[in-house]
Amino acid sequence: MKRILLGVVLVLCVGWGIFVGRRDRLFPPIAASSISRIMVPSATPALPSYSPSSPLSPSALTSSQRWKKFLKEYGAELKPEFSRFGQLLSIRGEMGIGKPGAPDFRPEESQKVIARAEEVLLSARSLLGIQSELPLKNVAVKGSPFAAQVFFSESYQGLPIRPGGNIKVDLGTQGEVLGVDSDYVSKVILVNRILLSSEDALLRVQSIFKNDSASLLRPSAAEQIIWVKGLEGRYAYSFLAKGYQVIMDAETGKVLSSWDRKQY
Amino acid sequence: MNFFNRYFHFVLWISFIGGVSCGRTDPPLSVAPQNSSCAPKYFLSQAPTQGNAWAFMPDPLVSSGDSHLSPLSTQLDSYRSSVRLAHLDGSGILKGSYVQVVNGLNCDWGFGAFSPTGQFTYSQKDFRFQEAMAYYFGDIYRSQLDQVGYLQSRGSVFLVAHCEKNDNAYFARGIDSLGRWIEMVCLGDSVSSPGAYYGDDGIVTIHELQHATTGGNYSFSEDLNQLFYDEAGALNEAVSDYMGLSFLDAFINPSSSWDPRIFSRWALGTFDPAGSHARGAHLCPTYDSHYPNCDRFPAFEVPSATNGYSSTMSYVYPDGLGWPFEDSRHSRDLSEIYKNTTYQEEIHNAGIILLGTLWDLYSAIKKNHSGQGEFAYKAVAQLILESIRHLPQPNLVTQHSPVHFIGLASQMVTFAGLMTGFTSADQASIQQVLVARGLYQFPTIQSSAWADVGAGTNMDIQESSTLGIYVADNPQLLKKWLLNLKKDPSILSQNQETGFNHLLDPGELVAVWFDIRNTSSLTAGGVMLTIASPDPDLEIFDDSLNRGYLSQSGWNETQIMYQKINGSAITSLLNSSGSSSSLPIGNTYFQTNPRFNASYRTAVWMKVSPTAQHGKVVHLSVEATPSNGVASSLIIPVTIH
Repeated sequence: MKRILLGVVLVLCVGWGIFVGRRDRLFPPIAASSISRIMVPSATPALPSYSPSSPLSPSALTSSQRWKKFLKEYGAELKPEFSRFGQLLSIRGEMGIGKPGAPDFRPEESQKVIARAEEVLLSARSLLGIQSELPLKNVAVKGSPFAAQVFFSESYQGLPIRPGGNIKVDLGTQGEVLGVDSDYVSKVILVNRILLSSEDALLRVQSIFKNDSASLLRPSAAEQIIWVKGLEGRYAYSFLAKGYQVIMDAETGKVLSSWDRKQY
Repeated sequence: MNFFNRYFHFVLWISFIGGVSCGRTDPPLSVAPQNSSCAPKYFLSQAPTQGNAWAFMPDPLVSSGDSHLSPLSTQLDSYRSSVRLAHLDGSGILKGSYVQVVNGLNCDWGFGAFSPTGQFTYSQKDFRFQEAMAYYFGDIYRSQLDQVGYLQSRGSVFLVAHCEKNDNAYFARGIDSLGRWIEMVCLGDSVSSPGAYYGDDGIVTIHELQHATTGGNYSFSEDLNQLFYDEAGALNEAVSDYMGLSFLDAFINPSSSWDPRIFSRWALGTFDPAGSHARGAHLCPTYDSHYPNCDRFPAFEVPSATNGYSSTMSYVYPDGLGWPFEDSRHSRDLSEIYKNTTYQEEIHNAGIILLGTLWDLYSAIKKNHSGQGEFAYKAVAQLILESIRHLPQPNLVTQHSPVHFIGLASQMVTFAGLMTGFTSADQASIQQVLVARGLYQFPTIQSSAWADVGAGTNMDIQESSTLGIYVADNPQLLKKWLLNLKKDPSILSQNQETGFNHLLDPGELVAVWFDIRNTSSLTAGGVMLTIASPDPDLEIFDDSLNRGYLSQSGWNETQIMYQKINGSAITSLLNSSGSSSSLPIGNTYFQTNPRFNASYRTAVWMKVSPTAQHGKVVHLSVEATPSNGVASSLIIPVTIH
């Protein structure tokens, strides 16, 4: 019995030793090439998300009156463009001409820049058609000694609105308004449901590009979005695959849009 | 512990160790994943952060001094220069804070070159040479741009040497499986000259890397290029070309015997046996009789007895748009070049005027500052990138592609007045250059009636079935285009009976162009057409086919940009009756670009309802807005066959 027991123990020890020696092959570590592909994300400042401080309520002011009020605050020389529905699409100003911001405004100081941009948006929220259920989030900012730009991105039910859904505020050296560009969507009516999982959607995208040459830009993980066309919004998945932007309906799996974003 | 127990434990340990020895693999440091020249799986942590490499400065042609050097020469190693690599992360691979270089074809998108001692010195025939050269140019370029203060980096950009078999290189953004941004440059291996590599041309690496910075300065979410062909895309390409040329001139200082204004004389100039596709920052193209001095700028002339049979073509906006820099057929015949150029509106070609403008700015600033190339490079780079930040953003209601050359020019004048590096002499020089190139203080088209409906004909289209438009309905052609666009060709329903008559038949999917006639003497540049159909029997396809579709306008409406439509002034200069050298140009879009229908890139895709009545007339609304003038509206009636 002791010999049998010793034999079993010896076999187990040898086997354990073999396992230890070969575990790299049985459970390979993450390949160096894969490690090398993992990007260290660049540091971006954590910026507060913007939303209107008060829900939009019906205003007695007409669009024209609102625009005049805006001009009084920010400078009479500002030139607007409105859509045929009266929604503000853009404002153009000039360096050094419009009304400045606070005396301590500095275009290189991101917090001051964001605060000024949010002031502008608040003043123009009715003109831009900003709604509380379609808040502006994902604020990003660029600044230089001369000017600053703040980018806002719209969302619905926590999902980014695409295409469009962006507002950019361009501020001069003293915080004067140089420009506002908006393709804000004021109303969305959802017309589909999410029936396709993001994994299934990814498999479908991979099959579209299966014949393309191997690329570092393998189909990315799905970004869930609301894809809008007119008033209709669709739950959708957005992928970047082999340099193509692909938008897939999250209910039917139909490709709603795809285009080549490579720059040669 | 008694003897037996000690013996027992001894045996156990020996058995264990013996088992481990049997199972253990060889140390992996010398084993590569696919190719023995690829980097090993395990990287180091204390390799040098600087290294040595070989590179062409910036390409074999310039390095050798031999203008006839073949890309397949066996002597290329003779023309390498020793360079220092910086900002390496110490892992022994070509990975640094600004760029990291992987190998697509040879190492399955992993790292190729590896050296524990920082020696990345390879023969040009070794695939790791192109990796090391890409690292050198990528690192030195981005680090200098970082000093300018406008790098707009999302981190280290991936440079993929030997990316794919393709006569091209490109920049792209992506998201990895962990949801993080990747920015990537793909450097191809030539198919037309097998054994030639885009990684051997330093200026190509710089051009592609610049796309990352240009895009990053414009927007975090929108691309500059909104349509297949638009001035925004041409601007993007011109900035990349310019930044490459000026960087090389300021920091690499190739031999002064080479014209510093030629872009990619190696890859674009020699890889295609059919001819050179190099671009230049000159005032005129190579087939101008006065090239390279271009001392007849800004004139336009066809050969005649009165001018000694010389050709003059000037890169001034907008008349000079679309003329290629090199005539790949070497005919030097303006008429042949005009007839055979199928890529007039292609954005690299369309960017040549702006490339030359930016180079002229650089040259002027450099001259004003005692020839200091580095100062001029940094000052102009800062000016361009700050100006790009203020360009308008697109929207899906009225302005799908709002960026024009003249918008950039206007911003540059504004910011040149604010940047302390520019003296009053510099500001004056900047304005002079922009005015000379037609981009500032230019004459404008003031009449809102400048646009009319053209005949729909040109030297190739003898008659038009539908006045003012050209319909492509050939199912084989459209299928080819749809597949090229990665679209499902089953949306085509026309057959042999109706698919070749250039008419709008019920049920057809068609690609349409509009022959806008310019009644002004001035050429209309960067003409944005906004086309709306009020009738569901003729539907404009949405953004699944039409890049410029205005999905938030509330109408069935799309936009497309035509590079230019000749005015009567340039037409009479180049098409004077009685001259045998006259060009068959005219003042309509079809007679400005006779090869407009060579690709789908300026087409509007439409669908005719299968139940549409034969003979029904649909009135399309077309608004034409040039960059240098006011909008002009037309109603174009089209008949359903």
